[in-house]
Amino acid sequence: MAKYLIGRFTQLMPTLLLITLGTFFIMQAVPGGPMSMYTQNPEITPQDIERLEHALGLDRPIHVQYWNWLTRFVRGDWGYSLSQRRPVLTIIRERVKNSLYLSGLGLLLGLTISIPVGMLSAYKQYSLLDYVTTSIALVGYSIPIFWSGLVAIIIFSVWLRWFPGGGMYSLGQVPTLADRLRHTVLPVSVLALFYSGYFTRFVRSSMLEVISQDYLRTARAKGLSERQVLIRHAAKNAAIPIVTLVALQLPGLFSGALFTETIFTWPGMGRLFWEAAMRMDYPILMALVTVTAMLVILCNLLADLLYGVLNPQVRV
Amino acid sequence: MRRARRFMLILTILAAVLGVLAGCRPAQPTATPRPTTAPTRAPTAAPTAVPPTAAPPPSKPLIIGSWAESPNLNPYYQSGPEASTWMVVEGLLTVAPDGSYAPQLAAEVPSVENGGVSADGKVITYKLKPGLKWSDGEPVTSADIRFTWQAVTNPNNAVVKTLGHENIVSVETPDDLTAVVSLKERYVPFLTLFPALYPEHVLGDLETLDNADYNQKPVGTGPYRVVTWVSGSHIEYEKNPYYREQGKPLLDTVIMKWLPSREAGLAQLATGEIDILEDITESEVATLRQNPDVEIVTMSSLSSERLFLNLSDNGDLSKPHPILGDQKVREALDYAMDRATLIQGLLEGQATPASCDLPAGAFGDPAIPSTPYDPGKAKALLDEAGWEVGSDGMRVKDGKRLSLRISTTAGNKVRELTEQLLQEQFGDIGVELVLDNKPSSEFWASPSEGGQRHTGNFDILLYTTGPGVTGAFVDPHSHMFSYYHSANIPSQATELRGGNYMRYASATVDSALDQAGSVFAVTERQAAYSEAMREIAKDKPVLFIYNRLQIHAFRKEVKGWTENIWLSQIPNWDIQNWTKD
Repeated sequence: MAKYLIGRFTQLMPTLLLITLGTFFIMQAVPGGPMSMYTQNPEITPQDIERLEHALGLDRPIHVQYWNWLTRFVRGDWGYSLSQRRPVLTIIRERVKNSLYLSGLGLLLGLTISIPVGMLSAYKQYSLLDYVTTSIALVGYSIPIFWSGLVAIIIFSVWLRWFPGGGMYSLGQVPTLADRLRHTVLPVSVLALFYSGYFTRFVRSSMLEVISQDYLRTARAKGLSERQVLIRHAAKNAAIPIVTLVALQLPGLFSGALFTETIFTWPGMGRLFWEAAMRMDYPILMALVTVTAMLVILCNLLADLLYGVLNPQVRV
Repeated sequence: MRRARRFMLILTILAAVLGVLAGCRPAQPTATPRPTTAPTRAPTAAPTAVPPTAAPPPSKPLIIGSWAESPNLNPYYQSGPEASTWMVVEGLLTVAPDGSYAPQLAAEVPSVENGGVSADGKVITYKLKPGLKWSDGEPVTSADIRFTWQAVTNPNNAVVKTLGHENIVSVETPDDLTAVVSLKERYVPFLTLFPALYPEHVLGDLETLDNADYNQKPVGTGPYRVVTWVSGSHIEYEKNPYYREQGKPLLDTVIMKWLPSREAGLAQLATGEIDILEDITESEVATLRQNPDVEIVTMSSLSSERLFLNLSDNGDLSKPHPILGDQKVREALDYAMDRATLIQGLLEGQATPASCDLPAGAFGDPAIPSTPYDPGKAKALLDEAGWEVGSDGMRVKDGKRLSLRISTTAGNKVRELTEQLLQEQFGDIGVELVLDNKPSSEFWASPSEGGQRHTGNFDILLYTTGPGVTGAFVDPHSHMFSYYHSANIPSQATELRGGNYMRYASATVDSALDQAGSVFAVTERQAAYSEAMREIAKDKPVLFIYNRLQIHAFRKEVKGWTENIWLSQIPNWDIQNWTKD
């Protein structure tokens, strides 16, 4: 086990390095750049742009820029945003809580809905309940979030005035918990619709596989109640692939949900990445890509380990 | 035993994950501490011994919705004027609605007549209004003027534009209210200097302004000051207690909210969650008109959508463009454009046909007409120029087809549709228009990146510009000089630098622009610009299509605003006078 872990961790470093190299050079290859938003402004002379490029270190050779970035990054100096002129770490810290909150709650709510519904649907396969839930799950997963978000705003905010149309809390007054919760309902619901659509299908198929197993028949023959059979035996085994899937979704909590954050004016990581990409703000982009890549690698490792922990047959 | 251990391991892992998720409380706004000298808002729980005239209850906050978050609030670190900044920061002069310069922090506009400008134009004397204070209570002095110059020209500060301050040689401060600015040479647009003042007592000791707190929380003299900025969400402002106009501003709190989604912004305006929506597109006007609580405000602006015609052969200055090098062809294209249809069809009538760069204002010439739609005349001109109609309807001359590439920023719906309409309209007179759009970053790419404007590798470009597009302070000189003077033609010798993308060279225009840039008297400059524009209207290196209107939407509860086309990008320029029911 220890050998396995050491092996995986040694793989992590070169993979990350390659990812950062690739990202950096691809970004530089894209035409435009952090100065492109200034070039259409006649008040900003070419001398100004040259001066800015020099001040921001953008006129040095690319490999020098990369090396500077790398050596500072590993020491914890993630640089300053080119447009906001603030430390990248500060900007990320401000936004990451918002994304964890939004996506985390969305994921939790999605799981809370999809696990019981998926299991029930598998247990009563071919019933009306089964057909209805699988259809809703498919629809929930297929509808683009920007559409469902806007529809939610139109119905619940503009027509019914039940919920506000965006933001994390009401502006211009001291935010109360109730106010924050009111603002959370719509975006989290929209995200949960998406997540539950995604997971219900997996829970159902995983459960279906387990339900037909012989050991459940043995358990019933031994005299266990239906509930005990389902929960103590079937559910536990059906949950194994789901736990893995959830682990793989975890990096998404960091990288944010761009559409949801855009529609609901939620200051999260998804929008940060989008805005940085539009402005070609290299320090922010590099930091976000590197951290996300690291999280993906780690969560994959976590998923593999968990699978081994839960299913002794796949022990590493 | 082993099963229990496994179970505990799973539980621990899940608990850790859930703990991370649940433990994350909703973000508190990144509240920067209020200055301790600031009086708080009028107390809602009045003490018992309250005088008969108690303070009025705090007015409801005014919420302004804006599409793109300002990167920072430092006026010299921004590309264009941001409404978020100019409520807080002010400069020596500003522009009044009638287009004339007006004093803001200065006591009067310096001129030769009042002795503010020396006879040779190289020395300018600014006098500050007495009693001015910064938003932290410190007095505004001439040292701030000197510091502003030093900061803007300091190589340690990565300011985005120097705006002519590099022409300043020295700033003397004989007393607290007077600054004597000496220039290297006559700088005719000098009234655009010092559009914003930096506070020396706050920034004077810093080695560089690049990472100063000022960039997120500026100290200024405007009607409001920043309370907190929640990145990605909003900026909250409060009344500046040291604002120079007594009793103003009338609103206690203003909030600038960032709206990343246009539909969400429209929805929030409809429900009243925001009071003002800046800069809406013409198509959104139709939706908003139906709402009785919303008023649409259109302010004309000085920017116009135009066609830039390449007069050189793909950047080669030794050869004229095989098609566009002929003035008759350019004139024919001008007559072939049906501007009225474009404006009605694409912009819901929310624009006016454009005629020249400066149709109004102190330097403008309103008498230059916009070209009428006359396809008959266009065809006649092309016939005269020797282009005959070929078998497929497109004209041909000496075996060459009259086919032109047109390029604009891909993804911009209005522009793409404009191109398609032009394709039809030009097709009517036998000109083939081929669309060659590029994504924004490629379209605006710099000379070193091979941007087509700079290399000259294009036939026609379509985009908006004008003296009003960039600055709050509209001296036309930099725009006109950059676009039309032959000294600014990009070439190998200039390393492709220069704003005269049309590669247009006219001795008349050159001398008129030189004249306009060397005299101070407004009337003389106006005459010179008029001469240049008339010549440009004859030669037609640029075809003017329409003047964009800046459209903002105000809810009916907001009152007291006035239009100022010179500050059309800052609809809240007079926010100190606004009220909200």
